[in-house]
Amino acid sequence: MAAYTLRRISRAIPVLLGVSMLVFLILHLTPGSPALVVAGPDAPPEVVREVERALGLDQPLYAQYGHYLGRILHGDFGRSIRSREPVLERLITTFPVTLALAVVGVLWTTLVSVPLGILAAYRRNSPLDLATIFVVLTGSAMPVFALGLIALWVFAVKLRWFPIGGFAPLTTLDGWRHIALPAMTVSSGTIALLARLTRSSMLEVLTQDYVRTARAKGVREVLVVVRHAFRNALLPVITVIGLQFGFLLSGAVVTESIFSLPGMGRLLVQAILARDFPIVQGAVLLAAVTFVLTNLLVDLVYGMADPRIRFD
Amino acid sequence: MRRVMRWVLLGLAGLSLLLPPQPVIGAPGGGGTMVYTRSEETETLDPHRTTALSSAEADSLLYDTLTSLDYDNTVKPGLAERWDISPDGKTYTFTLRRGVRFHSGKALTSADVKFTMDRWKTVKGSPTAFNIAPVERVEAPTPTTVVFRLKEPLSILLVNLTGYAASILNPEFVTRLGDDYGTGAGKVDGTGPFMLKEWVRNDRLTVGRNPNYAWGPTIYKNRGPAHLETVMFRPIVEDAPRVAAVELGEAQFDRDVPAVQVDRLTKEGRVHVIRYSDLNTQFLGFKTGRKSLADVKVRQAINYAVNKRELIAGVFYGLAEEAYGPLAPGTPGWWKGAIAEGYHYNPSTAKRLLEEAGWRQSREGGIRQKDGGTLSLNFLYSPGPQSEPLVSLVQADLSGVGVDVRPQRLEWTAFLAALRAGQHDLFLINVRYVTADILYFYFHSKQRPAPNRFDWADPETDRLLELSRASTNESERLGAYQKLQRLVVENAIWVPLVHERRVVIASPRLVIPSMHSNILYKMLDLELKP
Repeated sequence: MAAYTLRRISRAIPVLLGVSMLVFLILHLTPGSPALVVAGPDAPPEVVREVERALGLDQPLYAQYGHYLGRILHGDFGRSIRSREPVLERLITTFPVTLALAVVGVLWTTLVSVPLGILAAYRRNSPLDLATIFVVLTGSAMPVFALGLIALWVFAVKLRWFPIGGFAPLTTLDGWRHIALPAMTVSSGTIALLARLTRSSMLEVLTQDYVRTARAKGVREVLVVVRHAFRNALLPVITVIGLQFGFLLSGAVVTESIFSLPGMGRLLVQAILARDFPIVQGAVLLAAVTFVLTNLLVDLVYGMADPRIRFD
Repeated sequence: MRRVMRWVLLGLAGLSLLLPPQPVIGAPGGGGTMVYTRSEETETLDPHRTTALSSAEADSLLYDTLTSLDYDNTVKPGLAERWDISPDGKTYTFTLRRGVRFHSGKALTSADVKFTMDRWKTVKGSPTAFNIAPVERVEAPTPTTVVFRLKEPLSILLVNLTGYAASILNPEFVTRLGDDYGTGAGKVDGTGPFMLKEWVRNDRLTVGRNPNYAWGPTIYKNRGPAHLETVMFRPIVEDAPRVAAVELGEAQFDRDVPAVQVDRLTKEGRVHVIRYSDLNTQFLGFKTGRKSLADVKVRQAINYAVNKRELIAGVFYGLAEEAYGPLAPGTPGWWKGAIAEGYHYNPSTAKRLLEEAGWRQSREGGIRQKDGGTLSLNFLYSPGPQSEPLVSLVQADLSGVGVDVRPQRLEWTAFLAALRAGQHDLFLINVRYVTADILYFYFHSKQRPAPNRFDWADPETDRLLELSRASTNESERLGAYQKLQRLVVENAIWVPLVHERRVVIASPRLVIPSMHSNILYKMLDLELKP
């Protein structure tokens, strides 16, 4: 397994290199220089040129990219064009917020959608099944920004159960109160997907011979469903949870803005709008690394859940 | 199984119900914590490296400047208690106030002022260095005397020195921290009424009262220390939660109130809605060098075709005044004649002028043509709360007189780049200023292609601008600016649209004696009632 993991990690290097080059090119080929943002709309032309020179933007593109790669290999991600703060420091402070949002989002998704999916499959075509599908689809059909604003209005402004925004570490109760609404919002789409997947996967397994055998042996119904059926229905669910984790990281962009969370998604949007190249490059690279690692982790967990899978 | 399901559902629903309501931020009380919300985050606290309002707001609290800006935008003493200007306008001698100390405890001397000015002028990539470029050198002959020697007279020097970019820095901090200066707590040192306590980016920036402060600008009754104990800036991007934060008492002040909410907020009366005029002009700018726009009659016709009253009612919810010249009433040197001689909505005059210019319609409602070409304008704008409806109304007005407008929406940076590249015939922008000197940046031929995005190169304009920039005689200076405004109106270089009114909301607990063009400026007179 160690050899497999190492091989997978080594294969990720060209992926990351590709991502960095693509982001670099897209950013530099988009009209609008960061110097215009730094200098402001009233700056005379020579000031804009001076700022461009100071930021090294007057160099040819290949030289800028080569310089950038060289610095990354030395662990230097550069400084933000706008705030002058080291990019790495900025990522280190914002990534945990986004990670917390994604982790709580995945937990919430799993906690809601897996039991709902199991119940819906078990009571197939019953009012409960239909109600589950209805609720879940409504949640997923609603755009995140609308759902977020409505949730904020109802639960934070009107009922005042939750704060209007901000972040606190999850080691405190306050932290959980801050993250609850954003996590529920960000996971609204994935809950629907996962509940439906669990349901269809369970439906398939519940008709298998070994389930009938288990029942015939007189095993308690709860055990039949949870131990015999669900364990086997779990495999596609794990894959999707893993992939959704990456999706939640990207979905954080809107949610973080609505709930004023100081996370990486919000940082990324601000940086793109201000053409803060070093921040965008650093944040996208970090997101790509997270995605690659999550996929690897999913594959490893897959092997644990299904003994038939071998890593070689 | 049913029991299990019931517990799962009850547990999920109850998770949120079990949590007691709690305010997010410690409720203000006692000495007073004011939470100040706005839509964007502070960029940096290094005053020489930014043009962002969010940074300027914090800098006004952390630092002081040699001169300060009064409520009527005139210059008053600051860290300099007085100054003398030589008769040729090229030497300014400032005498510093005694007893001023940085937050770190270091006493302020003229060497700090010299260091700050030298850095402002030379730091790599400083976006505001042009404000001090005419200063040849700064000298510090005695610990309390600073002398500025200029290459040429610069009448706006004293105004430029009131700006956040002229904040006096502690050389020890700046030299020791290098690029890290201004990036977080412990990395900033000023002499201002508040000291930086904590900065969690995108979440909060907290400053605490400077207990030793006693050198506030003379415009304040309270020269220091401030009444408020703590000020916390919180960036909240979305309008609805930001405004709700003030309504619910989680914040005490918001400066980015969307116009659409003003009516409701006023009626409900839970917060104080403060409307005030800061100096700004929203306008359409012509690229006058274009063949179709070179004739002043075409530009004047377009001026006549825009119905500003309708714009104010439909787009600004009444929170704006019609604009007829480049500057807003209240700007020192404002030309009153703009209102009488400017272009008031009159579509028939617009049509007549276009006919005179040779642009004819082949049929009623069609696009005007001349020499085989059509009168079709590429109209660039960037997203903003009012831009979409405003652009649609302008498009409809111009279409009514036979001018075709092709709006193109570009995100802010791309918009500025496109204007610099000259891809526009017409563009929409809002400019804010504190003095008439903004005209120099917009109309001098040296400022092409930006911020003079109008291709405007006229010797008389340049002469008037240079005169007003160099003259130390106030009436001569303002007289030149008035002539200049007339010139801009007569030549119809812009379509001045509106002077927008700024709206802020404050908790009824917050006492704000007066609004400043720098919003709450140094906050020395603010009080928070229990």
